[in-house]
Amino acid sequence: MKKLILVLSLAVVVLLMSSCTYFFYSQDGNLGYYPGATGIPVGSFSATREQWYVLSPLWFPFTEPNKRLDEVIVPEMVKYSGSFVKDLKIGYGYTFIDYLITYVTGGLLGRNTLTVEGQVFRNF
Amino acid sequence: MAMRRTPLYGFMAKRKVLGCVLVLFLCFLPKIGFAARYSDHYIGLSTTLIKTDTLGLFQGEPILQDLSLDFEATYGPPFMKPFRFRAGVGFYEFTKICLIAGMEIPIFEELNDYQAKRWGVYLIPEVEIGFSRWDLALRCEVLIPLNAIGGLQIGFGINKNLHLLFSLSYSTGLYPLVK
Repeated sequence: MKKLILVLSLAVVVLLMSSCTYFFYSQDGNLGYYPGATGIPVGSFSATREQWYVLSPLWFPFTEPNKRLDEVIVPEMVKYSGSFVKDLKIGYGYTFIDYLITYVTGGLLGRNTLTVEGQVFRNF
Repeated sequence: MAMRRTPLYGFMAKRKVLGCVLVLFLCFLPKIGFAARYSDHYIGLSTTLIKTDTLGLFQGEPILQDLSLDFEATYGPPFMKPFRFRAGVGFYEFTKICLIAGMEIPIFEELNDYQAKRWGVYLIPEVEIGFSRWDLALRCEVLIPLNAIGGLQIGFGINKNLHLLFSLSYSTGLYPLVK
């Protein structure tokens, strides 16, 4: 019986650990690879979003800006009246303030930052 | 010939399963690939419990005797990489305040995808100056990951009187993200 519990625990841990993949995608589905897209560059942007979590950003996040990249990119594109964005650079880490917050709470409650940079193009 | 199911066999079997769990945990630790700008300046914070005369424990000394609680900040300027400065304040036997200064020398270190400490072995020379005492110490500490910014650092060392030290620390540090 004890052995069975250990084996089941092992299986649960494997499942939990194997699902720890950090994804970046958009809710509207408009995030893709279109190397042929052409247009006039109209500006560049750099936007940040904060993510709060409990224990780990991968396990118990309060917000998931990494899964709503459109909400970061679209407002920046609208500012320039652009049609699409190229040269996206997505960054992820702890700013100094994020680090202090996460340290003080012993890592139980944490905050980190997502940065998105890119160039806006207009194709008309 | 069938193996006898002794209590020792059961203990060893559990240890094997736990070993497998640990290996799998390490294999599946999240890997994230992305482009980001990180500062070249390393910053860190740690809270450390140090038992100065560890061998005294075996001679029946109270656990709080020669125990100190230290709060330290670490800073690693880019030109000193991989060496880092440490400084802070300590409370010897939880009452006597002292100032601490030293260095953190990574012998081996692995950073995670957030550019924070994940694994490591560190050599820590330190000097401690208080109103009624001073001490020199050299410790070797091993970092075990606990969260995304650091973990539990366990170490042994010696002080100026050649007494054995034991240290247990919540130690964190990273190269911060530059917005």
